[in-house]
Amino acid sequence: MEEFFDQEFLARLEHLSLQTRRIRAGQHSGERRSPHKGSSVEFADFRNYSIGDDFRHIDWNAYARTEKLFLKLFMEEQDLLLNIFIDVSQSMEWGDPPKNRLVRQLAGAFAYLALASYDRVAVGGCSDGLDYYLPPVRGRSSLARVWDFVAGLPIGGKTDLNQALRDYGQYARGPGVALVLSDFLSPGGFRDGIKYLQYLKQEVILLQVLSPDDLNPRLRGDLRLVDSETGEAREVTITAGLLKVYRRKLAEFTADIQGFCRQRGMSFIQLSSTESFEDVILRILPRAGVLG
Amino acid sequence: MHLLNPAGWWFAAIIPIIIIMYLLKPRYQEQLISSTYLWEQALRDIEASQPWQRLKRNLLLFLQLLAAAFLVLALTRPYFPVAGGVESHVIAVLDSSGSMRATDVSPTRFDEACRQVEKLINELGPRDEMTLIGMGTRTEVLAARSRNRGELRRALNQVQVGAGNADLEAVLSLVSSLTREEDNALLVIFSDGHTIPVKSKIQLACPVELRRIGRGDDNTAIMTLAVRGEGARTVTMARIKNYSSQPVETGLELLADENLVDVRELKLKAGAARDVFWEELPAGTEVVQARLTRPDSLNLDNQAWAVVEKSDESKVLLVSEGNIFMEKALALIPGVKVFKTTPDSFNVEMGGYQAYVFDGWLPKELPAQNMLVINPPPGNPLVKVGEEHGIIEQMTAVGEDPLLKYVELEGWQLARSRPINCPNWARPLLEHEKTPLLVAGEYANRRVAVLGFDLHDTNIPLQTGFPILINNLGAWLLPEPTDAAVLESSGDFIRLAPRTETKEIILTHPGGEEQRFEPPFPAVLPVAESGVYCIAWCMEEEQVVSRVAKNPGDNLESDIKPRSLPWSGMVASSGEGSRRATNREIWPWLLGLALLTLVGEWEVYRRGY
Repeated sequence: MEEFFDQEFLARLEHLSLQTRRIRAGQHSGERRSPHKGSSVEFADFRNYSIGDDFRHIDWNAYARTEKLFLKLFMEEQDLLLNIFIDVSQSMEWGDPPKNRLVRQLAGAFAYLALASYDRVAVGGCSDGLDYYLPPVRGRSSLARVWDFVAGLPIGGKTDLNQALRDYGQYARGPGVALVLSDFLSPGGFRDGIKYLQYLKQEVILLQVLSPDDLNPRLRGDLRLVDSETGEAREVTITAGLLKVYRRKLAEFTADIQGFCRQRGMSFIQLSSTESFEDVILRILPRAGVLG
Repeated sequence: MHLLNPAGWWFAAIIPIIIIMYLLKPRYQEQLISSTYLWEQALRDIEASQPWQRLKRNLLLFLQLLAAAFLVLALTRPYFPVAGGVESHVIAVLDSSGSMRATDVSPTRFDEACRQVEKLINELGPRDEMTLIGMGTRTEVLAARSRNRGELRRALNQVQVGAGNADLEAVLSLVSSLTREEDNALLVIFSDGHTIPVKSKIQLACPVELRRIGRGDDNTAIMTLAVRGEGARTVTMARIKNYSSQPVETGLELLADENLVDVRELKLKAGAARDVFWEELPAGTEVVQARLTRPDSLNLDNQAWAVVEKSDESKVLLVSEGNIFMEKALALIPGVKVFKTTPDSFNVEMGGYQAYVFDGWLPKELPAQNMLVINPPPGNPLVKVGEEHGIIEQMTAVGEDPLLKYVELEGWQLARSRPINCPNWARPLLEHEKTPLLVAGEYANRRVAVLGFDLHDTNIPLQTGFPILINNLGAWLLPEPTDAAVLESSGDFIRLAPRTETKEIILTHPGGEEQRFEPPFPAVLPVAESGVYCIAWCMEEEQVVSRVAKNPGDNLESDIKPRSLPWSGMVASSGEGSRRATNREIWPWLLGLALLTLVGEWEVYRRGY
């Protein structure tokens, strides 16, 4: 855990939490009621108190009757479920700094922000399937657990986002926000999986993290390019002309994802692994309307 | 364009090899990357998946093919026939005579000639040979049959322009022997045409080309500067000639021992000469110098020097039964006092005379001084006298001896003569049908001239040539006041005649440079620079100094107007028709282009186009 979420990260996150109120569920957040209004509307249910819950919502009458702590839940104050899908395939280990680092720091930060806002957080580790899954947890007390889970996700295997997101179907319980962190350099594509998330009533946010070498490769000469995930090799003479074509293809690829997301009402943000997570949370994501 | 080495085309096989190398995929260096996903997409556009790739428009390939094409073409050794080029054995003759110092061609004619010779060296084909000959007073072979251009250039750089005449005849004799067996030789003469005329009939088998150097003729020269003591007087005479085709005005300065004595203004018409006299010179003057103030194309001959002769009188003893002609003729020699006696009264002890003249008689014991013997009796110790000969109506001069200078032999007739057998020590001067009539030479350290007839049996004393002959003989017989140092007629050597007591000779050049000589002394000393040479004769107790003036003024060299060679054989063998084309190879250029292309290719590769 120390590898990604050190003391400095924590300190910066505390600072962030003062400036960022909560996760905005896509552009259609109007469909969900504001939690501030929710406190004054009708009662819906009880649930067990867990450490970290706001004790102002404890039903002291029920406690008097049963000597157990229950929280009063209101229909309109239905909490948000944030599903964080982290790409843990081999390609994420690549780059300087590795894409993996920013991805996990962002996942940790989102989890913190969500848990601080009394939202639930579930985390999935994706490679060629949903290999690791942390069911939804709630409350600040769960932060350590989430971070442990995020930091402990092992890297390896190929990317198959379609399969991984399809695997999530078995855990899905109701609507939520799905944050997919990946480089999306998946030969099998990812669109079907994303569409499936939408089918599961998830507000989808795509965060693409690419290394500087992905964005602007500095290779020259006759090279046998070996894919870090598949081990497949491609012999190529890299010239200035080819690099130009590569950059054009990358731009086309990015534009393609953006178009797809815009069509389906999703958020898409491309990030370089050299960005600091702080910058991303404070500047890039609010500008894109993901945080507010 | 033609090819010297068509086999070089085989190297063109390199071109398809280069193309095959581009068709074949190269060996790749392994590089791990995060994902080939985007690379696959990029490559799909520009690369096929077969083992052979399509030949693409590649700048590197083009440059490599271009370099290979240049190299292959260079290997075939293409050449162009160059008109007016040179033959396979070129004999270049470079005139280094005095007139080549003229500055009508910048910087000088000689430099221009050197430049043209160098150009000819550069034009030589790879199989051509060149012989480089320097034509001055002496003929020098500077490089013989060389294909090495560096050696030829070095030899060319060693040539120095002289002040003497160019001896074309010697050069032609040399070239004639060099080219006797050759049919591919070409003689190219770089000259202004001023050479010693060729008298013998030399015909060359090879073509001859004169590259005439020079344009102008603007030159005024001091032809002669002479000083002669006449009694107490010293008369200086300078002859100035204007060789240009325009009239000139010039100042003439006279310096006595480097002090300016007089300046005269001269106006000379085109081609005109004028004698200028000065009657007086400061007492004790040793060296006189004349200088023309107007600069012209050849400044070499704008000054001249003369050494003032010592006015000591020489005493000559005429031993004769009576010869009024000889008496009169001897008395005409300047500075000579004639004494006479009869054979009966003669005694070898009668010393104090610088020369003796024996007429029809010889003492048994010869005096140690120089002598002129007229009509020697048979059985004398000097020469063997032949049978008496009848009338001789014509006699001929042998060679061009200075003793016969200005002597006209026309009309000389003999009623009787006693032909002499030319002894080993003498050379014949006058002869009739190979029988010597006058001989001269050095006999036992004395100069002796022998005339094989009695003057009374001839009409010679009545001819104008007679006093001149006697004057010449007198000048030759009368000893120099000290050890003799005489400038040879060629002007290139000082001839030394040191006395036995001379221990050392110091020659001081006009520039001040000193040369010391110890016995055995050289007979001649080469001199090049014009000016006054000072010769110090060092003896046991005393040192005697004599001076010799070497002057540049020369009718042949001062007339700088370029002209044809004075050689009748020239016309027959020269001309454009004799010049054949040569091959100029271009492979060095092609090699240079190939290198340039490779440098360009490297730069293109470095920039990653």
